[in-house]
Amino acid sequence: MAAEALSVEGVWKGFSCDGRWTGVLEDVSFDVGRGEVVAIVGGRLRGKTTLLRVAAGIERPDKGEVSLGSQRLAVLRDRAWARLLGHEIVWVSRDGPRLEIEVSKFVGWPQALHGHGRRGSEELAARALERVGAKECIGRRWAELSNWQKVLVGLARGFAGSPRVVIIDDLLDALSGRDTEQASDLLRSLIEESEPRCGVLMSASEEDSAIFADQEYRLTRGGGLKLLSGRPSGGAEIKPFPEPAESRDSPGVGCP
Amino acid sequence: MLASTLGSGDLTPRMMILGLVIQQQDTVAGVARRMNDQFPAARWPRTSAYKNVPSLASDGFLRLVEKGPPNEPTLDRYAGTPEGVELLHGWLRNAELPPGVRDVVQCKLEFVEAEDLLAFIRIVSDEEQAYTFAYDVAHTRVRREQRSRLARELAVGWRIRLRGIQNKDEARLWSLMSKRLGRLREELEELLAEISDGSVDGG
Repeated sequence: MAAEALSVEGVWKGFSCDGRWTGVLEDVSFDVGRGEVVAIVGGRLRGKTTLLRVAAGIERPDKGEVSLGSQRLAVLRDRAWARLLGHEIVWVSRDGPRLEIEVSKFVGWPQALHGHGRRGSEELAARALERVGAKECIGRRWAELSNWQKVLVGLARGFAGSPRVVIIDDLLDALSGRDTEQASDLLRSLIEESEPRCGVLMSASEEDSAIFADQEYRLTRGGGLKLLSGRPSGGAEIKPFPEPAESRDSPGVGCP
Repeated sequence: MLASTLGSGDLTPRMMILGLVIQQQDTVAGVARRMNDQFPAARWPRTSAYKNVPSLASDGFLRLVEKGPPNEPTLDRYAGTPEGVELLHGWLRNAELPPGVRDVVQCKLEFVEAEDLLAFIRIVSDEEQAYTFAYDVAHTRVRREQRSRLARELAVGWRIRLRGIQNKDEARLWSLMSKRLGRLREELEELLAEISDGSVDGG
């Protein structure tokens, strides 16, 4: 089993709206191992992004613990956490940058904030964009990119430095069929080449985007997490359904 | 393992057996094994191959190519005939629209009474778990296929691509069934709660 890169344990999170408290996450636990992809799948407004934001330390849980390796995020002061974000935890979203900045600045920005300087971060960004096959995107802005190019640029940003965890929010959702497969292959190759080996936590609206993940969880309506596929280091495991004794002659599901 | 049936009227063991023998000539015992290996979720009875191979041969869709040892008819080897290939192609290339769907859960819902609800919710929950497990198995196969593709670093042929697409489609099918049963279970639980607290008539 891979060593844990990120650990989320017993997390609860809710919001108060018009004086009413609404629970979004209820007792959510999972680990992201080094070299692993963990996917959180759920429909709109199920709390995927909230969970990812809590895992990244952008939001604090109401209860529970998030740890990066042995570091508990909740006890970090803002400056210490800010040093982690963008360096050891990289956040990538389909929404892209809030400001309309040029692609290589977007990709290199986390590196610029963490001691690489302007020139160094531009070089890292150019190298990362070339590695994912998105060199032609240099000089353009996020809004000018196709869905496929956004995925490439997002992955370049995620893996430009040496992160321990890359958190990817909804990035692969806009793709379909062969593109999903190619993006997943690229993601897997980037993880395999990463040093130190990083883990990936991603969200997706549809199982299709997460079909290559090592562990896949679905956010349930009650705010809990249900394991759909994979073998976590602890916690829930999918139990095979017991085969009925007289099952061999009963008709089953047709040609798979 | 999976109790619901999702099948079209034309999806019979006979057609699968014809396809398997045309794909690769085989003995009756070999066909029975491949039915189980290649279509495990279909859970066709083992006797299907023993009944259908000789019947397809007597109808002219298969032919005996090698006789097995005496008193061992299951080791007789068969191959497809041109008529068999034509029948299979006709089946492959024609759709039955709308497809016949014989879903056990849908059928049982028709007959459920208020006093059956709790037991029925348990059945739905068990089936949901079964489909989740089937999804996990299919998903694992998809992941392995990706790892093997990346390790080879070579362009793959269409047949391997088709196998990958088939694996993903299978995972998608189980995922849809699991999700659908999960929603059904939630709705039935809500209904049961409403009956229990008297907000809806349970009579």
